[in-house]
Amino acid sequence: MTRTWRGFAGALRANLLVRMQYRANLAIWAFTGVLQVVVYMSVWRAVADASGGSASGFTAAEFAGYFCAFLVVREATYSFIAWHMSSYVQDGSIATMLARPQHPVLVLVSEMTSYRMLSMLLIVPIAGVLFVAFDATVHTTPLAVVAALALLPLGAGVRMLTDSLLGLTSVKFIRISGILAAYYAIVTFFSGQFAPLAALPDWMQQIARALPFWWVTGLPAELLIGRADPSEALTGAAVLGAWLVVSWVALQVAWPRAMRIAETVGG
Amino acid sequence: MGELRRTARIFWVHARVSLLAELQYRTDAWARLISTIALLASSLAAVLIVYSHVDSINGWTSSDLIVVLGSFFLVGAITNGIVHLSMAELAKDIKQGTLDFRLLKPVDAQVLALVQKVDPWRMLDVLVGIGLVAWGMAHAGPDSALGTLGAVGGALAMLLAATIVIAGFWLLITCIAFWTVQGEGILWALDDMFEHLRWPITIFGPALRVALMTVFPAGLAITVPAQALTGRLGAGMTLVTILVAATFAIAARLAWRAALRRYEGASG
Repeated sequence: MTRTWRGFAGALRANLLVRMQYRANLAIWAFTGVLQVVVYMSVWRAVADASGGSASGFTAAEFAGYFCAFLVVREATYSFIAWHMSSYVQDGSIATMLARPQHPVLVLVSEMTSYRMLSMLLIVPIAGVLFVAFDATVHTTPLAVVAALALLPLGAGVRMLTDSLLGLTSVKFIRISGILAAYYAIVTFFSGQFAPLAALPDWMQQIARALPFWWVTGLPAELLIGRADPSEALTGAAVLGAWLVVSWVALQVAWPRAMRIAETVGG
Repeated sequence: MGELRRTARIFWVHARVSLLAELQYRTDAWARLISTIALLASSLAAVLIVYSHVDSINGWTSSDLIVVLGSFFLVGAITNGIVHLSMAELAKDIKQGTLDFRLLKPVDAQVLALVQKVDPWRMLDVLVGIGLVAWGMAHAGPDSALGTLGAVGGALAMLLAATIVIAGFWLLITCIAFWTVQGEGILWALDDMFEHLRWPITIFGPALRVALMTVFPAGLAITVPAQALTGRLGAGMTLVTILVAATFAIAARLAWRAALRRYEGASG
């Protein structure tokens, strides 16, 4: 275990150094995430204005508050592991990774963590600027903020494990852009990225609660703006904990099977 | 006119080569089909959810929004099916030094760079785009300007302007790779940003609207053909679109020339 953590810490340090060399790239990706959130924020603010001041209990200012909070939560839990793993399988570099003492998933997690550590330095101030620029409002409490922050590591873990499982399908199908497009469409609607849960139809709200994604991002965002009660964080932690265990076991089962059928040619 | 015919011929040759290459990976067609269905389903779901709360946003009804989605798919087919792929290839050529081979060919290297790779499966997006526009037209109210001959002509002209804007902007950004060598990451980020612009920019606040017309002009490129089709395109917006298209075309040409002067090549 100590060896694994030492390996992870080494990979994280190396990835941090690499990412710091490509600061412009990092800023562009962070800006991409900001644009997505600002577009949905602007749509819902327009909807609130067009509905006479509020929609699904959110005023334009409250929608702005929700999306600013969502921007921070999304960045803290974001994962592109599925994309990276599929590209490593496609270009064969997974073969080199398998020959190393560190587990490839651990290397991917260190890549993701290093990205997140640096991108958060950009995203948090940007969210602050957007909060002021869009005249946002929140009605939160310190306890709700602490509860939201406590859920973030659990949520990040769940996203990285589900992404790893999805990335593994590339061993079988090689190109998984279609699968990923469907996956990201599901994440967009059921994570709270497109709209807060209350703005979705009832049947979509039920699906969102059955999947892990709303618990990963939607619930912490609603806690941060004071829409969700801090006690809901306990339910959230239990749900995320369960998803974490399920995805971890699934990865343990799927990984050796996937590697047996992998036909990589990288050098 | 002769130059235009020559450009069309170059594009056709590349499209044919790309089609032959893609036909070797037939199972990939399923992945592309799933991608298009996922994009269509999520776009329609977004419109349905939003319009379950309101009848119109800044004058845009749900039928009008379907027309915007049609424009998004049509502009997307050009952006992702030709421009993005060709620019990714250009970025790779710059990085590996293989651009030398393209510069030696007896055609305009900029034109060649812009149309060197075509994704034939994106024809699906063209069909979906036309289908959505037709659906929006069929369900528009009796007062709508949808479907008039003038509107369709205006939309085609705006689609041409949108293509120039997209090609100019993407090339301008890719030219950065001549200095930084790394360029593919930026292109993927642009692709990601484009995917979320399924709304007319006129429903946004002034700052975001201006940003999506200039800093990232894909918003303008998607909106103006839909505005033309729905009778919302005024003389002012037409003029702005033409000016933006001309600016990006000129800026891209100047950046391309400056970049080539800097390019040292490294192929072996």
